[in-house]
Amino acid sequence: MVKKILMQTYLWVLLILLYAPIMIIVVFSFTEAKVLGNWTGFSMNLYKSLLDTGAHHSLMNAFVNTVAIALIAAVVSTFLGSIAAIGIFNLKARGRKAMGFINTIPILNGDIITGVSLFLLFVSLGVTQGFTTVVLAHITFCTPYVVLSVMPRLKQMNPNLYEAALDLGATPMQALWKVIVPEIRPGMISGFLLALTISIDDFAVTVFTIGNQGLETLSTYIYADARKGGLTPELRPLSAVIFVVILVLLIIINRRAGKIKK
Amino acid sequence: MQSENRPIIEVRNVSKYFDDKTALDDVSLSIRKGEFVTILGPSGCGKTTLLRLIAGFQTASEGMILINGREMTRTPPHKRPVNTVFQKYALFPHLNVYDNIAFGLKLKKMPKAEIMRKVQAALKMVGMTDYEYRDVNSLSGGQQQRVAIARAIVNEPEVLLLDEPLAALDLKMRKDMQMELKEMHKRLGITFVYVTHDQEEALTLSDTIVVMSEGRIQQIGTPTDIYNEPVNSFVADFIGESNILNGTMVKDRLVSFCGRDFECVDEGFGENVPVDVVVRPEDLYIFPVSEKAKAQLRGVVQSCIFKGVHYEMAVLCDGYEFMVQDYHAFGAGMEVGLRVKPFDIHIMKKERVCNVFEGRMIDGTHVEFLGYEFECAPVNMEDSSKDWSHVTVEVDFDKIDLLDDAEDGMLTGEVKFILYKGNHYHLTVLSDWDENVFVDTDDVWDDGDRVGIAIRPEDIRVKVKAAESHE
Repeated sequence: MVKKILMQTYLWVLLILLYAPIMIIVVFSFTEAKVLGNWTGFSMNLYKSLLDTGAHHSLMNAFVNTVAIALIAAVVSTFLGSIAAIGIFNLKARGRKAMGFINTIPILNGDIITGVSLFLLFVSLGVTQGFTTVVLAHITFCTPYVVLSVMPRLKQMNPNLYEAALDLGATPMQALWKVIVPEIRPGMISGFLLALTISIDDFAVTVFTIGNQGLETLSTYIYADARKGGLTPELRPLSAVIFVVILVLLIIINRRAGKIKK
Repeated sequence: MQSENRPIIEVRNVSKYFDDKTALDDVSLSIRKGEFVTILGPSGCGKTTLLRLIAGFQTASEGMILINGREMTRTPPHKRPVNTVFQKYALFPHLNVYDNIAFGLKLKKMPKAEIMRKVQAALKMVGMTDYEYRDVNSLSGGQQQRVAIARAIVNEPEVLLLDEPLAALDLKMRKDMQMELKEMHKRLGITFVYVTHDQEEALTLSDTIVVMSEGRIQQIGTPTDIYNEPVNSFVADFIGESNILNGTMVKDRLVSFCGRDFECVDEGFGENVPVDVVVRPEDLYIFPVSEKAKAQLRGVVQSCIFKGVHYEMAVLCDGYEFMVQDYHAFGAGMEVGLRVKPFDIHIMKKERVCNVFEGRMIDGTHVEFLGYEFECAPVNMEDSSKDWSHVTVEVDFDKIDLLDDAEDGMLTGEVKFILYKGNHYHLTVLSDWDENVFVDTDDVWDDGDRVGIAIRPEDIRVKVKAAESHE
């Protein structure tokens, strides 16, 4: 009995410690105080001013950039990753293993390394850094995740399906679209959502590839803002919104993963 | 009509290699229009590879495949007039029954009404009317296989290829489906090429059976031919149950085995030639010794097992074990007599009477073959007119020792095929040098066992040819 109580207490303490920072942000997004920690009564004003384009234009701008980059990167990496997964899957055992390994390196690699190396690459190629380079960088680190989420679907697939389609008169292209893609679609969607969240989340790679043309994403904006001294109060409602959105996405991903396993 | 006699499928000298493994070795096969042909063999014999070459999923390394008179060795599968039924059904899980069957027709851009009509006809053919809108994942194995068959035949192929289609079904279902397939073959009138490892299925279904082993065709014939006149001990052993023994053809119509002479009906083997003798267990008559019927062989029943319709008994006669099937039970320990009718004795030419390897002499007491340098009895190599770098090495089957511990042998190999010959086992061991070594042994080995192979120097016979003028 005591053991059970201890176990429960431990679990709850851990959860509270983990989620306290986020909860504080969410709670204080409903008050107007300039400084985090002061409660000046419940108000939705911060949410309202977030939507006003005037005062906090640059914050909203950063938000729009972040979403645009994430969407483009997720779409492109889903496309690239799915094709790569099909290719890797059809390699011989040894090649498949090697490619699987190569695919996991960018995932395990520190973001900072990816960021620095991409920065050096763009500089050495003489590419002006800005929106395009950030998108390219995000595609780079999102694609391996898509490969990882599509691969299990391919492994579960009846190996004769593709051949059956060819046998019934489909060209290889038709077989891909009519049989393989529907089969791996759940993996592709999971991969897309994963890419989306990772891209929104990214700071290290973005900061190295964003250049100095004045482009900001949420993460770089907040970083700069914090260094200027004091966070813009509107960040609180924005963080709360992003937290909820990501939470919903994660729940969707997990439910899909559960379904696939069945 | 001439087109009726023209083969619908012709496989000409086809070989298929996977890296360094040979899956098919110079296979030639001709299939007539409308035939039900079964390709039969143990797993790994190349039967599925042959089917996949015909379907176009793989391309032959050598040789040619003609379908309906047209060369199609390299034609991709979607351009061949054949359709395949896969072992694991391979139905498209995201489509319902109707869309699965309509898949091929839709690709042909057929009008909707016609697709509907054909799909319904196909469903009727396989006895699955009213299942159109069911989710394929909700169907049982047998139902899925019916849909898979419907999906193939709806395209009206010239040839239907079936890759062990019933292997995943339970026994009762399998038997029912066999009858249905046979019936379907009759009604459709198209050629069926059926791959299976189940000899009973092959005997039941086929017009022609192609028996394969180790990438080669062993025998092609009707089920009765294959059963009654197997060409070699592999076929005899694989099809049905049989007693296979070493024997000697004394002269025409007289064969000696198990220490006595038997009348038989085979001729033309020559005199005193070693042969393989096959007697089916149902062709041996068994009776108590006291009976007046003259026993050709006397023995003691070792075991008696009830098999449903008959009893199966092992009878030991002069050190040879015979399997006998009879409706009457003779208990273990009983003394019995055995008789066999002359035309129930089937004689097969021995493929080989001893191991023959190509080798080369290294010095007077060493010879290299099977990729290893063996010590041998001293050979006088003074005669330089002979080609000592191309010698033939002979080793008797029973002079090869197999060792449990692969490390102890001179070379290693894997047991590939085991044949019980009444009083010993005849093993085929694939050495790591990729050459077969044939071994007679009393020890029990299992298929796939790794063994060490050892040969004593005095058991190696070296034969040398006169040197050929090479240039």
